Amino acid sequence: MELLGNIYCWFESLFGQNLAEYLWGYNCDTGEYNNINLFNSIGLITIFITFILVLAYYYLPLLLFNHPRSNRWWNWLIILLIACAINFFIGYGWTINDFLDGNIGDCLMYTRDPDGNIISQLINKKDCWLFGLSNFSVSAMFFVVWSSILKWGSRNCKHSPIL
Amino acid sequence: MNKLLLFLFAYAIISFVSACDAKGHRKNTTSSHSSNIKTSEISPSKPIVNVYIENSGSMDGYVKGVTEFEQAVYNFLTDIKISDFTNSLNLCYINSNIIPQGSDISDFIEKLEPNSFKQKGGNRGVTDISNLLKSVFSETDENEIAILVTDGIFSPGIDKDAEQYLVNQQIGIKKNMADHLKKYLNTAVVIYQLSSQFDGWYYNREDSRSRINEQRPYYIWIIGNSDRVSELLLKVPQSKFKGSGVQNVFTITSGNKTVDYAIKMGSGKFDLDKKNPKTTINNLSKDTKGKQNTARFSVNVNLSCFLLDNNYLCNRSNYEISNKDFNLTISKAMTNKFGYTHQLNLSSQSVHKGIVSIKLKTQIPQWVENVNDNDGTRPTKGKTYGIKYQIQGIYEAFTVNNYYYTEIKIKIN
Repeated sequence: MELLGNIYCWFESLFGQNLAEYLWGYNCDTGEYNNINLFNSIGLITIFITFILVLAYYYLPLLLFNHPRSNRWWNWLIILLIACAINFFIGYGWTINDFLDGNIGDCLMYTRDPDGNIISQLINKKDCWLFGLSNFSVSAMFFVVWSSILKWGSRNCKHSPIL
Repeated sequence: MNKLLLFLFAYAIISFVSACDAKGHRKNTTSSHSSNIKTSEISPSKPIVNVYIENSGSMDGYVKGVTEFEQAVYNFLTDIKISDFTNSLNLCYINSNIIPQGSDISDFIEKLEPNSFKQKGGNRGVTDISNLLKSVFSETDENEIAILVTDGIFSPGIDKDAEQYLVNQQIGIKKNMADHLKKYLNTAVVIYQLSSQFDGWYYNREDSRSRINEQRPYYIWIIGNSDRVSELLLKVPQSKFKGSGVQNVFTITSGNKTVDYAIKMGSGKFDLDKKNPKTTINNLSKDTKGKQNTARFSVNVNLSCFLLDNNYLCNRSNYEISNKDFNLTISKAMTNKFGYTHQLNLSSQSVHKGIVSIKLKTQIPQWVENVNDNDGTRPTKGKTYGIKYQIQGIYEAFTVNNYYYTEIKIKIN
């Protein structure tokens, strides 16, 4: 399944081709894509979190969710930002952990000269932040999609954010 | 209803937390494919090495006194012996007959003198290289390596059409080589050109002789199973030769072989195909970051099985590319665990789709033409009468069915 990966790759120019290849599941030991496709793993978590928060906003009878006082557009926006922030840290946290744990293959991490000396580093911490930002954006997209699907059954918020 | 929704929400949160925990498991899967790395084949037994030194009259000048010729041959044979490449090294003289000389290298070298050449007999007046090679081929089985040391000079003899003789010799060599290839397809031939002081009689194409004392080229042929020859060249590289060292090399093996290659990730602006990442690229576009603004990609390839030297493999003229719009350069591969030896760098001013084929051609190097003496009437410094015809005969036998060593195909979607 490459759909989620293709969506994330709309933002590939942000976080870089090499991190993208790692997330696609490229295996430096075999030269093939036979590791787990992390776009799918992260993407499914992102979809799930946004789904839960959208569901909570429209249907959960707790706190200010699904309440006549929370049906303003900015209430919806606050929940969207919460979902995006959670997914931002999931995207960043996942990749920075792999980066620091040395899980990213050498062929993706470095350019080496014929003697094996490192010429340049191809993935940096900054790319992990930028992947977090990409996940933030993907999260916002899914939040909008889930909202447009789930809002219609809500008793108090079906007109939020619009109509 | 409210309680039900609360329960569902709590259940969803718990499920999510446990899903995050699954991340730890994937680390175990990343290294499970490392066992796919090829392991080198272990040879069942050590090969037999048969050494043939031509002892025709034209060779006497190389063995008068202590010469670079003797030093190079002695050192080469000693290196073979001590490198543990073989348990059995047989020494022979060769002219019209093969004359066995035992296996004691130092004794053999000490006796390398014009007088002992004469004493060993055989027809020393004529050098029929086609027949000489025929004898060597007939003695070389699957597990044997033949090393032939010769000056490589044809001697057609008096009242013969020299040009016709050379062509006939070439055809004879081609036939003998082709017959050997029928039996042993995986044969390799390596010809080293070396140089030594020569103090003796030079015989021209009509067998009239003239006395010379100068540097003359001579040749060491290595013939045998490609894997065995490769092993030998690894254990005794040409850089170890004493004297003036190896000046030129001609190497040929059977062509149309499949080699391991893969598109190099990050070598341009493109995506690797997820199913065929080694051979297929998607969405190739111009790389706008650099100055060149070209669509480019590189292919890592393992060309070690052809025994060709780096000069041959890095020479653009030895490659043929199906799409002329692509510019091709070749460089040594960066350190890698796959055994890739070279990197083929392709770039184009425009984006092309379809299959790009790159063929490594089987060619005779330019030095063969440069050192060939086509006349043969008098000694020409650094040149050998008719060497080109010998090498062409070998080349034509190897290239009768195809003219390239390997083909690399890259699909661009």
